[in-house]
Amino acid sequence: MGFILRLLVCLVVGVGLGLGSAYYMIVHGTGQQAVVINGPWRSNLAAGGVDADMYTRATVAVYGLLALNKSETIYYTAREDSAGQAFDPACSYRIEGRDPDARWWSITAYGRDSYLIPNPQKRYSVGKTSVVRATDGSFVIRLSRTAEAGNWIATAADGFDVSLRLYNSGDSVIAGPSTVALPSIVKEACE
Amino acid sequence: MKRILLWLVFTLVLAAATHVIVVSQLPTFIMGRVISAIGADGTGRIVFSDRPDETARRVVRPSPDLLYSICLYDVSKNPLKIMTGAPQGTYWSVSFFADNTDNFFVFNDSQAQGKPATILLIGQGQQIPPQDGATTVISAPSSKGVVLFRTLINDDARLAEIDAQRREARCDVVLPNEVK
Repeated sequence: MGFILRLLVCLVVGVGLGLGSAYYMIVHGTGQQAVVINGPWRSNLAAGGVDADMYTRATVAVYGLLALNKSETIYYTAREDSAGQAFDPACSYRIEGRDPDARWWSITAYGRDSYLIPNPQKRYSVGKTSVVRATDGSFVIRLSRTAEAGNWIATAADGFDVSLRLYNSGDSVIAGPSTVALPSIVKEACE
Repeated sequence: MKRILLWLVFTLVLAAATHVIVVSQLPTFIMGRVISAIGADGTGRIVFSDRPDETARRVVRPSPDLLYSICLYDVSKNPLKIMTGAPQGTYWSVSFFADNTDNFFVFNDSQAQGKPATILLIGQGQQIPPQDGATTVISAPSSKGVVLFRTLINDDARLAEIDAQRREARCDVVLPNEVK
């Protein structure tokens, strides 16, 4: 009886530890190789690639299934602003910069469930061919829960993150994915 | 004391094994669910999805700027012949994913130089007659997987035109001796 009880306890604790640690590593993206950080943006250059490690594959399966490899597209994700503070759903943000070095790019907001955020205007993203630029070529994109004029992407009340897709990235991105100029993200007003 | 240590080692080994199995098998499990959701109709037939919005729930983090078309492959017996179509004046690509989520091949409009392309996907060790230079032959690392077409909506006013052009793509199962 004592043996069976100990066996059961070990099974429950062992499987629980294994599941819990796997969940933690996948959700927090730890253990992945080839992660680069560029201001508020993070990218795993091994995503989608045949040389991806098992943690990268698992995280991609959960958060970015069917992602293209880096030869075609580099995906950056931001969960914090340029000051290093996690996105606050009660706040609005300003994404500002110039066109990233890519044949085509887009910035898209996603809800906590990693799907597009419902909004009556269906404003989920701004991209290279839809962004409104200033005369000097720069742009400002606003991230907020309430609609704004110009470049605007809707956010969600219960949390969000932002993806920057660079299709057919230029040489400067490929040579320096952690240093190349990417748009900054600045917190504005909070409710 | 020794017995407690043995139980502790057993628990830790079990935890490590569970961890590795879950992390390593999760991609295949999730891909399997996607393949099941698309269903048998998706093998050798393209499913053309509408422009993604908040109701698009099949695959996480869809791009609302792309039109997705998807077909499944099962090259355990027969090759799959993909004809890309050639939407004009915009980015498009066709990408191939193994059952562990690896994107093992991608082909885009720049490589196609504005023309439709033919890609033949074959299984490991599958023998086919020699192909002419116009057909790209790719060997799939897994017998089952996904072929995903992306077509950029670079101008909302062109949506209907781009949508019609991307529907010229085809996925056809072909017998090895029918491959020309």
